[in-house]
Amino acid sequence: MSEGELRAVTFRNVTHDYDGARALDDVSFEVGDGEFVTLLGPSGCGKTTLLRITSGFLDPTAGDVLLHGKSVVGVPPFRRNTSMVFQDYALFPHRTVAQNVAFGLRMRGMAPDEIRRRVDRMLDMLGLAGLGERRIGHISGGQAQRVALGRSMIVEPAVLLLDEPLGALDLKLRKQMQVELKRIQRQVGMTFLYVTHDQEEALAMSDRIAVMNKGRLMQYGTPHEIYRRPSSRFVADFIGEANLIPCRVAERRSDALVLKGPGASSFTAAPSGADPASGADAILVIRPENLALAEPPVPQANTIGAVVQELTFLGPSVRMTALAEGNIVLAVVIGPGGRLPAIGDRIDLKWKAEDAIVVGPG
Amino acid sequence: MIGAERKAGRSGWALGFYTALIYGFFYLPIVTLILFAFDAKEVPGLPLKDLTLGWFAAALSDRQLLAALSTSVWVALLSASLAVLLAMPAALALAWVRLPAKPAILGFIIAPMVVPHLVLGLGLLLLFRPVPGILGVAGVVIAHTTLNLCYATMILYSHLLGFQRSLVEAARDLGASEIRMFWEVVLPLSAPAILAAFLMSFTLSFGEFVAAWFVAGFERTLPIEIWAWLRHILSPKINAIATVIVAVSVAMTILAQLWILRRRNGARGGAA
Repeated sequence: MSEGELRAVTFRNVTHDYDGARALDDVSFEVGDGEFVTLLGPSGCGKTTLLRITSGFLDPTAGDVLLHGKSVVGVPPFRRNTSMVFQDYALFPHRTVAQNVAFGLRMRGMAPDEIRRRVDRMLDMLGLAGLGERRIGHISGGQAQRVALGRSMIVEPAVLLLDEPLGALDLKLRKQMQVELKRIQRQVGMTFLYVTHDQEEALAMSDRIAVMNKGRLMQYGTPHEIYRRPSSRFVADFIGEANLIPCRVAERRSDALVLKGPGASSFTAAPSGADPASGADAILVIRPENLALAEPPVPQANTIGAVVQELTFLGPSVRMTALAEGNIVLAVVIGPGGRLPAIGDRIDLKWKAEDAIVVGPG
Repeated sequence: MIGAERKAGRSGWALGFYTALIYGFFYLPIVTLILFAFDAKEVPGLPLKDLTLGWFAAALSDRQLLAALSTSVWVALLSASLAVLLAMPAALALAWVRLPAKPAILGFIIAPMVVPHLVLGLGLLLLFRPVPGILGVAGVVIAHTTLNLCYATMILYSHLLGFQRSLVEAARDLGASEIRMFWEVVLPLSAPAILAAFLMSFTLSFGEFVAAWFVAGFERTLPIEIWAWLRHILSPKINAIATVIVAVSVAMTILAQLWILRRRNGARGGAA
């Protein structure tokens, strides 16, 4: 098996223009076989365009898309070994559940006995056994979601494309389906390319996340990497909650990056290898759970003074917002047992150098 | 509260009266026509004293009247079928394909609706005159297809505009060719609209007189036959045949409605 065959999908410099407006700008990355990859970004970031290019409903203006090492640009959807789960499920209302699931196999000219066997097995796996003869209008939203999934999975595509498939479900059902989708994906070992704008969903389900903004790929990595080591202000801000402190790079040392913050404050951060140049503007990113109250004597480095503005009780934790020098609003998560200041108190917040991330100002 | 209810009652009464007036305006002519089909007098008119079913027997044994009825049914069937067959691809292209100058194309399709049938009939007559044998049933079928086409296209076009496009994409994505997708998904889900376009076309053609009169030659459709009769005699035979037609139309409409309702309940409906 050559190297290329190990990758379910390869995007090479994919660019797409809609009537002169650039929807995708030079996107390149690879999806491994059996991986659950999520395209994540705000609406209009190009994630759905990329999904439609993979399915064959759109062709890229420039660049190449490879499925298992073979270029599929120009190959129509019905000749392409991809299958899409639509946002509105697109179940055929004039057909039963079983007929919907059987559709792809029937189009492939499979023998009726074999189709029936496979459809029964698929309905069993999805917990839809006994619903085969139901009309589409007579099943619940969660069931419809699973029928759509089964209809696409049964044709055993090289990659299953999912366009915000949980968007129409209520929150509780959505959480259930997230777990279920992930379980099914792991069970069958199919490659999933999943589109969502919900970062929590992406973090919970994905092996890797492609964060997109304004048609560009901002970062591609595991949820852990994306959360802990965002490569840009956009990614830091879009994934999870982030405190952004504007500063200036004072010194680049081999073991640390020294930064000047608002007022006379000075911070150090671990170097990442892609840090801004000395003297350049930068943003220090600190997650709320990595900020803590500093008890006297307050250390000099990596602390910032602030005034408590709000305290919100969340059950297991308390969320505090505080206003720091330079009009910066900071969010802090105080875990169980932590000391709680009062609103209006002057406090000092500290963090560990390795929890601070430095990104460019853009 | 009480004041609001009384007000609602009074406006409800006014609404009822208004509704009755509108329905009377629509249906009084038809009721009159049906009523006098049972009038025993040679020349129908008030007072309605003796009732008979004799005119029905007379009408249904009148060879000339039945021949005209059969011609009209054939013309309506053919022109409605042709119109739907031609309208479907036109509507598909208009609704789903990115076309340049789409408003202009739509305008040209709707235009025959506002052209007087007189103008259309005259134009077609001038056009057909050099062609031997076309005046007659063929001519009327062509004239009525032209008229039906714009209505049928508009009905199917508006249906396809509202068609869930992801169903088309899902079928294609699952391996259906364009033709398979059309047969498996678009056609079955468009059946109610196709039926509506067909029935509308059929009815329009069946009652059309002016355009048909120009291009019918020596052939007589039912409206032409009735018009020819009215010139010398106002026989209740015509009321009788008209009553039969009304009864058949009403029955057809009810059947079509029931069929559409049943399909809809089958497709959606509450959880069983």
